[in-house]
Amino acid sequence: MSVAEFVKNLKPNNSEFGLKSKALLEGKDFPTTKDEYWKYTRLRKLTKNEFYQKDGSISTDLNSIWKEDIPNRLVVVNGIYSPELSKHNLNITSGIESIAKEIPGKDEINSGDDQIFSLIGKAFAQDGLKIDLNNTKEWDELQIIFVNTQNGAIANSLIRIKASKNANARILCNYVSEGAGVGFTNSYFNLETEANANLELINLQAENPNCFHVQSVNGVQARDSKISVWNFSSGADLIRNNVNIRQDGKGCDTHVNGLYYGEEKQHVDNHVFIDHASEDCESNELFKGVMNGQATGVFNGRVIVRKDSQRINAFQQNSNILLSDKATINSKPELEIYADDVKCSHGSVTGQLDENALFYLKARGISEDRARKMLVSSFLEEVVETLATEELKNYVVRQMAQKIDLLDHE
Amino acid sequence: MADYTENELAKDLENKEYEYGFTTNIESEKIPNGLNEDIIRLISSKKNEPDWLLEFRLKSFKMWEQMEEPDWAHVKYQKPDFQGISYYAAPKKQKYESWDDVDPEMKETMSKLGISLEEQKRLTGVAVDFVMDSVSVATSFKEKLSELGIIFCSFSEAVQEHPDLVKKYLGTVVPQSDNFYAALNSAVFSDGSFCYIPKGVKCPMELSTYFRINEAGTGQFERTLLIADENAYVSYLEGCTAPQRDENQLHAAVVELISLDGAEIKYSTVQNWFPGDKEGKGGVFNFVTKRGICHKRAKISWTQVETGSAVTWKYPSCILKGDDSVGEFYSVAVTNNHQMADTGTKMIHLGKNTKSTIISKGISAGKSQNSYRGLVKIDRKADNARNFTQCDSLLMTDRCGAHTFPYIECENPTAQLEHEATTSKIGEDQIFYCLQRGIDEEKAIGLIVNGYCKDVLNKLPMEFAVEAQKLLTISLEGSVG
Repeated sequence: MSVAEFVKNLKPNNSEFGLKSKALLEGKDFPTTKDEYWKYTRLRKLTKNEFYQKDGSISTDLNSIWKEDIPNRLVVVNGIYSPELSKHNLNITSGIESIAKEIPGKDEINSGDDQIFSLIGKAFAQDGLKIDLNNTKEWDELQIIFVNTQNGAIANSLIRIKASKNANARILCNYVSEGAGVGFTNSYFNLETEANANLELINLQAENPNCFHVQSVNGVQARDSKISVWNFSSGADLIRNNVNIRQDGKGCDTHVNGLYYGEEKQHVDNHVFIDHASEDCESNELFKGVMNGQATGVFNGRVIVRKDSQRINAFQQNSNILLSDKATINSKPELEIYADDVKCSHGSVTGQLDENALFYLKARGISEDRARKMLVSSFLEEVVETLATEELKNYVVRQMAQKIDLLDHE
Repeated sequence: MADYTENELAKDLENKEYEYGFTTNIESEKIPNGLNEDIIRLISSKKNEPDWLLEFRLKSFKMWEQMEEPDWAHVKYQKPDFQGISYYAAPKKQKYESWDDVDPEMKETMSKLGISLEEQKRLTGVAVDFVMDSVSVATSFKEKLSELGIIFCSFSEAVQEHPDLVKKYLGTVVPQSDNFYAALNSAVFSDGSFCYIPKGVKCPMELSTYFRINEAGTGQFERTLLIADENAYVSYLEGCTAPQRDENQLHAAVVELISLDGAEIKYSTVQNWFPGDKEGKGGVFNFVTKRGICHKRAKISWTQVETGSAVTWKYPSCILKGDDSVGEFYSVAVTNNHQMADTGTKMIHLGKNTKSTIISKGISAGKSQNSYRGLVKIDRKADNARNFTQCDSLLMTDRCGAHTFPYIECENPTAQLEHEATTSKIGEDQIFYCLQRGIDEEKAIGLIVNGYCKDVLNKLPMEFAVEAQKLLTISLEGSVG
């Protein structure tokens, strides 16, 4: 299907990058399953809908979503920053103009597979956020809630985040929807870490089951910096996550972790692309999924070690549990290596709950239901455990528990 | 050679010339270059084929015309000019009354390859069906096999003498429309091997075919069809060397295996076609479609040692259709200089309680690119399927590449799938360990490479294991002790 048809109701922003992006979309079609990086994801259920740009006003109470101890709070409604609902003491500016000079930022990584949605985001976004982080003494913490009010709302959000030299920052993003209508969230992140900066981005995707979510996180790292991204996906009818990180300097560290749960006809697709363009770097991916009902889970991890990028350690792990006989898992951990002094490995396992473990628990008087819940929780726990603080772990489990039957984090 | 370093090893590898590069001067009959319906009719009439086979060829040709050459593989090469190839070449003198009548030059070729038929006849239990440019010229042990009801002959012979079997199974595992090169092969295949093992028969010897590309500018389009009837067993060996040529030679074979209820096929390949010189000039294009189907309780085991060819594009696969069937794939792929290999397997689990094992070992040297690409697919109905995949890559220089592209698709919750892959170079600590024990660096590298490939080499039949080790030694000459 053509992109032109899909965006026919949308008004482009008139920024330079917006017009450029719009021009690039001219004559383009959406990718199909014949495209290598869309092999397992059909976009029909997204593209058959009509979407409109909507103004931002909400009636939902966000109190149950705020993580109490985070001082800085932002609310973005249908892609538009809401100053009334936000409070913070960080260096944040909004408006398309604020990011006009910053996007695409450092020459963008082109993984080639998610370009259409990034371009739609850039061409039709109504607002943008520029977040500069420079706290070198302690951690800056920020929570952003993205609300989609639906009735066919398209929320294009453009976020530019820069962590300057030696800065430490943690950003928690929640994606929620009001009510139960059809909405599309198309979020685009542009991350940059200067030398020795440490940036964490935690995404909690919990929209209603009629929503669609495509997210592109594009990061470029300078030497000795660290980027960590978590995707916790439990909502929306179709989720496609792209995390593309390029290590531009020596000694970079990249962590991309994900936990996904699907039921009914949900489709969760995680694509990770790590470009080791410099020496002495590390990357680590851990993705765990539980698929129930007729849900489909996809993991496609791609690690490239460029020529002359010596002494790289890269690891990918993808584990999946299928709970129903109609669920599907597609896993594709790829390695492309052009340097020799490397240690790269990946593992992928798919199976069901261990019958022996279930029996063990039942033999000790634990009901089948609870035993299953315990096993699923402990399976997913590994991803939660990679989060930095206990409060954060508890918070994430609490948020996910609304959708997945999880035991409390202990 | 105490101070033999990896850099020197790399240099040695680069300078190593292709050992089996020679040309046999046998007059051969060639048809004009190019590909069209008339050529196909000509090939078919030259081989005196029945109408149904001509129809099969023409239908494939029509499909091929509609197709585009695939480019998804992780290889780069100058696409062949399909109109610049002669699609049929056969030594002019086709029939020999006895072994003595065989052209002495051809005999010499065979002895250079180390497979003198006389030697083979007397000393080993291997029946050799030697294919020199598309037409089988000598077949041994045939009578002995026919006593057991085993049919082992060239494909053209099978078309004449066992048309029912050929008609029944041809194209059932690799349909004509399967892919670009399979369609091309189906249209123009020249000859190949045919093998049928009757019910309950355990083939007493290892069957073997040596393929060899000889005539300059001739693409080889082999067609192999191997059928193991219920509860039969056969071990089949395929090995290849080719003379040194400057122009690229195209090889697009199709191999179909049918393993009926309770049968077992073990298919082993040693491939050492001319890989091109160290500038990457010349070399064979090896675009092969190999696939087997397993019925109930059947087993197919692919073992391959790939050291040759400029470009390899090969995925020996198993369709595990019957319940309790088993598929195996063991592979060692060595690439050197400018070689490019994109190889792996497909395990398609359709039946219940099906099992598959994939062990792939890649070694990249020089400026080569070596990719593993494999699919494990568990169908909705394939309860209790089990797969274990291990694909390791070893990098010998800093200019080569090793890549892994696994596809794991699971639609059944009772499946248990494991996949693991590692990529690394030979560890300094491993070499240090050997040096400490008085093993010099050259031998140490040899030891490590051999150990690294052991899981696969162990799966080769005895007769082949020796040759395979020899090939590995040649391919990594100067390093393997």
